[in-house]
Order: sequence, then structure tokens, then C-alpha cells
Amino acid sequence: MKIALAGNPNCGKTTMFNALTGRNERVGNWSGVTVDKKEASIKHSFAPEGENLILVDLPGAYSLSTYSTEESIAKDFILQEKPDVIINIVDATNLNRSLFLTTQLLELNIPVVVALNKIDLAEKKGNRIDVTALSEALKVPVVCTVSTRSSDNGLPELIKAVLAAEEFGQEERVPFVRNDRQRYAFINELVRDAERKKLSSEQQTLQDKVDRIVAHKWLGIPIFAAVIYLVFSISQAWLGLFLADFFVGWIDKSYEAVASLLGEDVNPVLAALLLDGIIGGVGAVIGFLPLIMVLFFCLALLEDCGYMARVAVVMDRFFKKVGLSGKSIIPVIIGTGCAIPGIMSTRTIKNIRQRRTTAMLTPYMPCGAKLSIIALFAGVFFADNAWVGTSMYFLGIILVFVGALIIRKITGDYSKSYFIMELPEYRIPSVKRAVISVFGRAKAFIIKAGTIILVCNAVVHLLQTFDWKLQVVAESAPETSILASIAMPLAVLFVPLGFGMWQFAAAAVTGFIAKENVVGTLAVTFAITNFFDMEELALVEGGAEVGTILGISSVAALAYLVFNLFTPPCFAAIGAMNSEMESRKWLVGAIAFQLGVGYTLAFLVYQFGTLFTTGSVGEGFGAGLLIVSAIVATFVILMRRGVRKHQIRTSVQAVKS
Amino acid sequence: MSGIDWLVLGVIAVIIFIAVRKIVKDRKNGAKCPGCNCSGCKHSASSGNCAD
Repeated sequence: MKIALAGNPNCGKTTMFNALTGRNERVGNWSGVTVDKKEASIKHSFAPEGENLILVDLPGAYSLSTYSTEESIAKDFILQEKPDVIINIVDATNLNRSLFLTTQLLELNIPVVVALNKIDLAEKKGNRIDVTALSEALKVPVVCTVSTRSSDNGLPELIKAVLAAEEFGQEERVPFVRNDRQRYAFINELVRDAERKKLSSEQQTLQDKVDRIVAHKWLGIPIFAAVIYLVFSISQAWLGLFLADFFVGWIDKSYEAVASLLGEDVNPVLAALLLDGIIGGVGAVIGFLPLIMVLFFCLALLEDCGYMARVAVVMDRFFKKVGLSGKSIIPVIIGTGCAIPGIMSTRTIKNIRQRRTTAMLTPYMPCGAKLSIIALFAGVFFADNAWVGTSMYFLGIILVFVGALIIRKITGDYSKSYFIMELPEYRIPSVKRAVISVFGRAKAFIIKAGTIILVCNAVVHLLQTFDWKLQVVAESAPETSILASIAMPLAVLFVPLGFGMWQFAAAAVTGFIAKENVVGTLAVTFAITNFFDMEELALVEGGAEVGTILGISSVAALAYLVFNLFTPPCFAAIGAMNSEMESRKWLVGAIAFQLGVGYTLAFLVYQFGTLFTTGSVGEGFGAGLLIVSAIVATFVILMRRGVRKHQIRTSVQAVKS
Repeated sequence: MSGIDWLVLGVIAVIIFIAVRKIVKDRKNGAKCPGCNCSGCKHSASSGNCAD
């Protein structure tokens, strides 16, 4: 038996889907989080014995007359796959608007059960809904639900009603309205009879007052900056570091245990491969897990309480000004977790140029994998490190705006689109949901470290252990290794950026396989197995020793960080870009754009930083200036050509009209 | 190579084999990235939602 969950955006479909199926799909306290359908079996505790109930979570839709891609997914599924029963989730706090879709669903002659969700919030507002009157008017069962609750949530009653509806079917209906005006008239009359709403006074509610500050067009930005600074402080300096210290202690103990088990008799090459290549390399990456978990926990709380939706409002006008859709905010914010789902969620943007531009720029937001690089360099080279993460976050946002502006000029497409976003109510964030989300991410991080990172580190270790004659490289001549000879030509290009060493070049390249590899490869190539050891490496005390081992200045470290964050993302994210852009030309252009921007930014950071700190420009300034000039000149030529294209198009249109 | 060397080599080979097998298995299931069991995977109908 197939049951579809249909309803308006942000009415709680995915939360109910997770509660009924036990799945852990991403939920968000704002609209547009779900962009495709999801299927799972309903938990046995809800379903009768022997019955397999398949639940399908559909993207939110305001009506069946589709406007957006996700609405058409919902419509196509309902009309073509004909589910046995539809659970129509109606937001009890916004009955009037929700019933529009309900009336359309009722005309499909598929049994419908209405779940009056968020009934607790409606009651809290002082609203009273006559469920019996509503059920009689719609001629379908109506069940009150609170899917965020773990018990007394109305879900068992809902499934019972669904089973009954499937058994008895639904009486044949003819469309009871002819047009939308009649539909609205019917809904208005129904709501007038069934709902007793507490009239809001002319005075502003607390939420309105908070929104006037938090979502203010100017005040909203410094507030957002302060919030992000606080999040990075908690995750990278206070709680995260405290937890990391414990965690790394355990990794160290397992390293020592394996080392003592191997003893002195084992072949040193094999022992080094196991200890430094596999355990050390993976351990160095895993060591950052507590920092990342704390950061994602804070971000999950911010999203759940409704704050991130306000950030979207604050950013919306900037997005519009640079020619992006307001909808571009959602992929950018989702991209802070992982660029892949962020890029995939661009499919909700109708305008093809805006969609491709957003897919190209979403990887500029530092994702979870890049956070380990930020944490490493911020911790090692900058004592007060919360500002590093915060500034990288905001640099990412600025690059999204600047990048969009450049791409709009290059394409000569100045089309605009408008985006209306419904602001969710503020609520106390659910710690349980945040914990579930964070543990899901932690599991993915550990699996990634135990698979792709482990294999890469083992390969990197082998390549730096042997030379081309397959002889073990002498400790005094690491530059004779296979890895060094491959990475050295590339390292020459990085001299103007301040990190022209083969180890950094190798790490940057392995970073394209997975960004965590940057940390893993640096750990293997510099033989650092622990970036957190307070006594030996003094990470929080300025990390002088790690800095000395890595052998670059703080400015060069910042340039390397910028280079890794703003050059193309990992191959998996590039694959996602390819599928969403549906254009080889755009994909190649995107990679070239990201490489150009990353290189130019790193050059500027290193050379200006060195000039500022030492009074003279850094090494390789002339050569770097030539490369950067070529990059900038290419952008300028392409932009001029685009502007000309736009002018021609505008004049042709003017002549035609 | 002594017996203990072969043993260590075997352990390393097993670890790498398990990691590679997991990568291949995830790729076959449609995961774009090892560990990620949501975005782009067949079993979640390419939801675009990466909770994990």
C-alpha cells in the first residue's frame, strides 16, 4: 500500500515522514528543504502485522497547478503513480492557505486523510479549530497531529484513519468548484465556520519585534556575523577543542598500542605504512571530528529555531542585485553542510542561467570537509582562531556575490526573478533533532575517513616512501620520492602564493579527491600524526612547533587556506555540478573560473600580507603577477563580450517592439 | 620478509581491501561520496537532502 504525504512547504511533511518511518531525512524550519520525493516503509509499531505500508514524502506544493520544479514532482507523482491514500498535511496555524491544495486533492478521487499538523502551535496562539466541522465539510477524516512529539502525537490515529480510508475508499466526487475564485470562496466560508481565531491586537508580537532587528536590512548583517563568530568560537576554540583533546587522546592511545604490538622486529617500511600512513593519516583527519560536530550542532539549532530563514531574508536583496534568484540562498546555506546536496537543490531554480550560476558558486561556502582544513590552519597559525573561520565563511558569501556579478556580465543575461519566502515562526530548537543530524554527519565523516581518506593516505605514503627505481627513499632526501617528483612541477606554480613546496602541492591535489585529504596528506608527508597534542605541538598556544614543521609563514598559511577553500571542490561535487548544469561548456567554464578565482585570491593574500608584515613583496611576485594579470584580463574580455551581447539583444528587442 | 612482516602486510591488505570494497559498493549504490547515503543515491530517490 502506497501512501503519499502532500502539503504546503514547511507544514512538517518530512518531520512526519521521519517520525513514521524512523528515517533521518533532512528537515528544516523553512520552506523548500525537500526537493525530491523520498520513499520508506512505515515502522512496524504503526502498521498492522504483515502489512507493508510505503510512505512517500513529496516536496511542498501550494497547489496542483505547478509553478516550480518541486511542485511538479509532487503533482506528477500524485497524478501518474496514483497512491492508494494521500495524507494531506494541513498547517493548523495557517488553515486558510493550506486548504487550497486540500480542495484540489479531494477532486482526484483518491482517498484523502487530513492531518491537522502543528495543532499545538495553533492552540498556543489561542486558535480553536472545530475538527468535526472541518471533517464534515470536507467529507474526509481529519486527525490532529504534532509530529515533533515522540508520544501523544496523533500518528497512530492517523495511520488507523489511513487504513480505514483505503478499505472503504472515497466517494466519487466531481470538482466542486469551477475556478480558483470559487475555491477561495469555499475555503473562506469553511474556515469561518471551523476556526475561531484569536484576533491579534494592533500591537506587534514578540516575533515581529525580534524580526525587526534580526531581519533588518542593515542590522541583520552584523548580527549574522556575530552569530557565526560565536558558533566558530564555541566549535573551534571552546567546547570543540576541549572535546577534541579527549578524542585525540584515544587516537594516540590506539596508535601507541599498535606501535608496541609491532615492536622492533617488523620491517620499518611496513610499520611506517600502517602507523604513519594509515593510522596516523586517518587519525589526523578524524581528530577534527569533535570540532565539526559541535559546529554542525550549533548550525542545526540555528536552523531549527528559525534564524537561518531570517538570514535568507537579509541576504535576499543582495542576491537579487547580483542577478541571482532569491532561491539561490537555499543551496548556499545547504552547501555549508556539504556542497553536493547544495548543488543538487539548485534544480528548484527555474531560470537556467541562475541555476547554473548558483551550482557554480555554491561550493564557495566552506563545507564540513573544508572545516577540517580551516580548523588545522586556524589552530596552528592563529592563536585567536574563531575569526579565521568566520572570515572564511563571509569571504565565501562575498565570492558568491562577486562571482554572480561577473557571470551575469559574461553571459549577458540580465533576467530577474522574484522569490517569496514564508518566514517560519520562532521556536525552541529541538536538541534531539540536532543530535540526530550531527550523528548522521559524524557517521558519514568517519566512513569517508575509513574509506577514501585511508586509501589516499596509504597511496601517498607509498609514493613518498619509494623512488622511481622502487628503492626506499633516504630520510635525508625525501625530494627523490615518486610523490615529490610528481608534485614538484606543480609546486613551482605555487611559489608566488607562498607555498611552493611539493608537500603542499601534493596535499592540494589529493584535496580534489576529498577535501579532508589536505589534512591527511599534510600529516603523512610531514610525518605529523597528531595536530592536537597540547604538550608536544601546543596547538592552542599558537602551534609554533607545527608551524615550524610545516615551514611556511602565517600569511602563506592563510593563502594556502584560501586556495584550498576557493579552488574547485572535490570530484564528487564537480560530478553534481555536471548533472545540474547539463552543459559541458558551463562545467569547464565553472572549473576554470574557480581555479582562476582561488589562485588570484591566494596570490593577493600572500603578496599583500607579506608586504604588510615584512615591508616587501613575497617570493615569485613578478611571475605571479603575470599569471594573475592573464586571469583578470580573460575575465575582463569575457565580461565585455557579454555586455556587448546584452546591448545587441536589447537593441534588437527595441527595434522589434 | 619474516613471518611477522607477512602478517602485517596481510593486515594492511585486508584494511585497504575493505576500504576499496566499501567505496566500490557505495559507488554502485549511486552514492556520490563514500559515507553519504542520501544525496544522489538510488535508495533515497536522489533527494538532494544530505542529513548524513
